[in-house]
Amino acid sequence: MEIEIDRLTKVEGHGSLTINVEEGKVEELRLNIFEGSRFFESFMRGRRFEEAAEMASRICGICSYSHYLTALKAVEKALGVEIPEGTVALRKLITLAETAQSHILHLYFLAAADYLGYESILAMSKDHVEEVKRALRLKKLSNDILSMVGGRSLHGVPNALGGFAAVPTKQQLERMLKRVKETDDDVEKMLELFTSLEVPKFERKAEGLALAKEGTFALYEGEEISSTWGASFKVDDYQQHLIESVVPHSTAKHSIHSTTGESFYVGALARVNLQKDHLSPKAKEAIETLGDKFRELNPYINNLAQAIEVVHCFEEISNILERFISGELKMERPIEVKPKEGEGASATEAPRGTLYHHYRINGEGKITYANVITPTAQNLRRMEDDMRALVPQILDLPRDEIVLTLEKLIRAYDPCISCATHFLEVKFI
Amino acid sequence: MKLKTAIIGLTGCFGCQVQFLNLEDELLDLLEVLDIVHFPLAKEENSDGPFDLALIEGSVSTSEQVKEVKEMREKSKKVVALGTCACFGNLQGISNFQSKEEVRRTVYGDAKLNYEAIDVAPIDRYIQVDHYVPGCPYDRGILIETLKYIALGKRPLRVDYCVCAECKLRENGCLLIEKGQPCMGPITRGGCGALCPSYNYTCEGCQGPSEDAAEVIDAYVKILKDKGISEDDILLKLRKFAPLYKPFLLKILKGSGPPKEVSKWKSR
Repeated sequence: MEIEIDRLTKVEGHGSLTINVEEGKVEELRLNIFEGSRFFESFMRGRRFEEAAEMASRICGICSYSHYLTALKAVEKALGVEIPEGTVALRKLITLAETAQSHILHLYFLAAADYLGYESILAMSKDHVEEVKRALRLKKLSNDILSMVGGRSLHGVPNALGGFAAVPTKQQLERMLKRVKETDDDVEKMLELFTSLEVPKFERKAEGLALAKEGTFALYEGEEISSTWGASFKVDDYQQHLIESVVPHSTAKHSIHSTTGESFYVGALARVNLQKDHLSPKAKEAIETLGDKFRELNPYINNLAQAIEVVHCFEEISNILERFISGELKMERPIEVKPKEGEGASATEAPRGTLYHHYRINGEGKITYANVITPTAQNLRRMEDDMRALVPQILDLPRDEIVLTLEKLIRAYDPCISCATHFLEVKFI
Repeated sequence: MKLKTAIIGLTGCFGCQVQFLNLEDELLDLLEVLDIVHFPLAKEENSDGPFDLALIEGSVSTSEQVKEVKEMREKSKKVVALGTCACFGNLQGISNFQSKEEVRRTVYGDAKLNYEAIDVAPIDRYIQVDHYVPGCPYDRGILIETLKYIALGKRPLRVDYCVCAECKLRENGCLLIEKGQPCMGPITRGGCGALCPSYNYTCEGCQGPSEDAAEVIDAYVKILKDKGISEDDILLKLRKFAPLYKPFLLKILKGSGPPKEVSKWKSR
């Protein structure tokens, strides 16, 4: 039997799926990625260090701020700049808002329709107008927080090297806090909806990786990567741990973890599995209430992990806003950053998982080396491995159901193909 | 009659399609005017056309996309180039200035690959474009205005002023004249509300060149030189969001020599 999904829809980027099954065995399974390339790592060489984050932002239109902040973190590390608490807190605010924005976009606009029996959110809006309005409200709020700090909801003003050159006023923070508080009900209903969806039963043992920082649910801060299988490594050593390889059917590289020799997963599910204890009170409560329903090894549960993270994000956003308003956190003046020779690798948790940026800068402040590893590139191999394990279990289903089950799985990872292939476009001989 | 609408992405970051979904306040109203029948980012069922309107994000960078964009043109009554990639090529256009071999080696080292990518180009190198909504990302209000005019069967208003006009309205101090910073406002199309200068940062040109950029570019470059900005840094500025725009391209080509293969491409 051959299964061919020519054009994966409701994912960000261009991909297709080919599966060939002979006598109940998967002979061939390829997640084909044919996204056009943009060669960031190549054309960023020779640019000025101040431009790194601004340009990196353009790798992705959904998580632009993740690329922006990860690049900033790497460049600042390369130049030995220490960022004060207040600036870090503003950056965390951005990370939290972007995580919420991206998850809401994915959950409501790309994933929900599959479970509710619609072809798209546009079709859903006829029968479920309240849910759609809720999605739009939550998205607008997240985007407005991004605009408040960064200037606009995507590709923000590149003014944050060493600290933000313009910061929100107290009135803006107070107004925003009020809006965040008013949204509690929406957040609750969002969680209810995604808790109520029945996901396919499927489990496969795999290693989850995520950024770690003691005492926090690490999204922006952290210099170490922790693993659900116990071994951790320093972000600085990422190149020894993540082995990237080129596969013929994909314009995005695949990754394996050198210690295990196997594929691994990153993203909301990995984070929640690893850092459950550091979730905000309401998010922790949500996951405790779910109990057994939260199957840590079921990749479809990633959607639910995203919903839980949305709860966490809004609660943490309130928390940071309150700390600024009370004066506990202070808006800091930007530190002047002077060019010098240096090298820095950094990682943050983008909505889809750990994102690595790495730059070398010369004495004139020109970038001489750039490397980016995106979450989706890390997840690709695991997506194929999961499907290889899943397909034999669902062969009895009608063909349409098989296709939908696979599409749901692919969408559960929330792949960002245009991110993953920001660097290459290849054809093999 | 609703306009049968297609929204597609070529090579880019998908942000301009996301920006469409970011029209949170207007999206449901827009659906009363637009019948979005093709939008693979958000829809499972996608019509093959014909369309009244196609919104195209991204630049053309593979031979398949040349075909795709031409087909979309044939099927659509109106074509809108959405965002700076589709309008001007955007950052990925910078790689046109590097040799293909060099780019390949940077990414792959010695891996044996038959590398096949074509020069990055804005979509109007291959098809006729009816309306341009540049910006990285474009301003949501300007897209709404443009769609409104198209729905009414009228020609959308054009942003024929540069960023400086909006910067003056916001009563910002001038980063270029007063502080000597290399702000691209004078040669950049308005529409963003002078966002970056209002956040105390120079305009980097993400909305693409202003309509009179060709006429003012010499004077602009002279000001930058007078302010002590190096030739190299000036060229980096031009080789950024709209590196393939002809007046910029000519300056870049005259400046510190990019690889010779650049000279063979056509530019608009």
